[in-house]
Amino acid sequence: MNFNAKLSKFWVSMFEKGAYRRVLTGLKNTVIIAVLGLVIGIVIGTLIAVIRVVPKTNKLVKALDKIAAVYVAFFRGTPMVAQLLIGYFVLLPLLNIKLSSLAVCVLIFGLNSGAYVSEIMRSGLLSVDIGQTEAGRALGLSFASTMMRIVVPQAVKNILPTIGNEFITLIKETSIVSFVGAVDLYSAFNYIGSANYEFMVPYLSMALIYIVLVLGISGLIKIMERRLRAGDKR
Amino acid sequence: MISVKNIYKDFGSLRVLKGVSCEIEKGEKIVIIGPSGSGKSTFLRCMNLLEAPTYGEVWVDDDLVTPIDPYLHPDVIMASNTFQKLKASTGETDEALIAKIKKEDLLHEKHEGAAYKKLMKTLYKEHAMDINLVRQRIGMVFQQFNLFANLTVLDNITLAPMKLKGKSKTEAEERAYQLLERIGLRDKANVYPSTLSGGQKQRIAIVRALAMDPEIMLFDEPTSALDPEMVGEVLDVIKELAHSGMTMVVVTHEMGFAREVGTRLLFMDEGQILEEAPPAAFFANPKTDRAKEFLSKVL
Repeated sequence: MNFNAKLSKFWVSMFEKGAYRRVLTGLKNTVIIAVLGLVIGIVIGTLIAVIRVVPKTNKLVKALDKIAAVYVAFFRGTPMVAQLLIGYFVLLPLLNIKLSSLAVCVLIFGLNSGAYVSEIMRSGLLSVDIGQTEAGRALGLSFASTMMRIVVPQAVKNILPTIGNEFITLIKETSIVSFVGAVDLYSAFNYIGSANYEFMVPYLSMALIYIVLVLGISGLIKIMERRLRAGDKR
Repeated sequence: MISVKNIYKDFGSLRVLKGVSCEIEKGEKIVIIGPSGSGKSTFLRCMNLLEAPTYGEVWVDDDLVTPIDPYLHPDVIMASNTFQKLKASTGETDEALIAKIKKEDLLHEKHEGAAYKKLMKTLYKEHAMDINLVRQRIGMVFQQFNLFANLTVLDNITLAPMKLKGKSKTEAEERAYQLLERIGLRDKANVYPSTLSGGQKQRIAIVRALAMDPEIMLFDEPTSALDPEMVGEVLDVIKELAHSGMTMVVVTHEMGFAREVGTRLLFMDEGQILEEAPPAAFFANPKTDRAKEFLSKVL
C-alpha cells in the first residue's frame, strides 16, 4: 500500500465517516486536562512550597511539612499511569464516589502536577531576596499577605519558563488517559488506525497536532515573559 | 516608647548580643555606632522582632512582643520550685536567692511547678500583643532599601496603609503623592523601583515607612549601600524628619550625622553597649579604650 492510498483511507475515516468528531473531543479533553491540571497543580504546589519554606516554629507547620513531604514523595515517586489507575479503579470504588473518567484525570493530573510545581515554586520562593519579606513584615503585613502580594508574584516571574515546561509535560502526558477510558488525542487517532489496520498516517497526524500545541504554548510563554519583564527594565 | 530588657541573641553557637538593655523615650534620636559585627544591626532588628531575642524582653509602650523572660520578674522566680527548695534548704534572703538563680541560670521551664507556670501565663496574657499590630507603629528602613520589586513606587507606598489601616485608594494615594512631593520624587510615582538610583530608592523607602504614620523610625545603616554622592540626599531627608520631632534609632557609620542629629549615642562592641552618652561628649571624650581605638580609625 503506497502513501497516497494510506492517506485517502485516513481521509475517508476522518471526514466521511466522522472520526474527526472524536479527534476534536480528544483535543478538547487533552487541553482541559492539561490546563485544569496545571491550575490545580499551581494552587497545590504554591501552598506546599510556602509550607516548606516557612520557618518551622509551631507544631501545625511541622505536621503540615511532614504531610507535604510524603505527598511530594508519592506523586514524584510513582508513574502517573499508576496514580491514574489507583485513583480510578481503586479509590473511586473504595470511597464509593461516582466521577467521570475525565474528572478523575483532571484531579490526578492536578495532584501530580502539584508535587512537581511545589519543587519549582520552592526554588522560586527561595530566589526572592529575603529583604522583600522583611520589608513587608516590618510594615506590619502578615506572613500570608507578604507572601501573596510580594513574594509569590516575584517568584512566579522567576519560574515562569519552568512552569511552561511543566505545562508541556502535562499536555504530552495526557496520552495516558485512555487507560481509564477517557478520550484524548491518542485514543482518537488510535481508533482510526485500528479501524483501518493502518497506523502510519493517524500516528503522524497525532504527533503533528501535539507539536503544534507545544510550539503554540512555548510562543505564549515567551510573550508572557516579555510582558512580565517590563517591570525590571534597567 | 521602646524598652529592651537584657536581651541575648544566639545564632547557632554564636552569641551576637550579650545582655543589652535600652530605654527609648519619645522624641529621642538615638544613634548606634560601633565596628562591624558588634551586634548593632541585630540589636536594632530585635526592636521590631525581625530577629527574635533568645533571652530577654522587648516592650513597645505597654505591649510585650517577646515571650516572658522569667529572670526579669522576681515574683516569677519566687513562684518557682527551684526558689522554694533553695529557700527551704539554705535559708538565705529572698534577694540573695533571686540573684543566685539569675546568675547561675537555675530555672528549668519544665520543673518549676504549677504556680510558676500560671504566673508566666497570666503575665503573658496580660501584656502580650500581636507583633503585626505593633510593627504598624514602628517604621523601618533597611540598608538594602528593599522596595517591593513587583510594585510601582506608588503601590509600594500605598500597599500597607490600604491593607492595614483601611485607607481608601484615593486617601492612600493622596498621602503618597504628598510624601513624594516632600522628597521631590512625585514624577516617579508610576515607575518600578529597578529604574531608580540608590538614593531615590532609599528616600522612597523612608516615605513608604512614613505612610503608616509610625511613632518611631528604625534606620539600619541607611546610607551604607549608597554611592558617596547620594549619601547627602538621604541624610537630608532623615535630618528633616528628626527636626520634625520623629523618635528614631539610627545605626550608622556616618559620624558627622551621628554628632549632628543624635540626642544620645550608644557605642557597641562584641554584643554589648560599652558607652552611652550625648554624641558631643562621646566624640570629645570617649571613656573606654575600645571606643578610643574605634574613633581613631574612623575619624
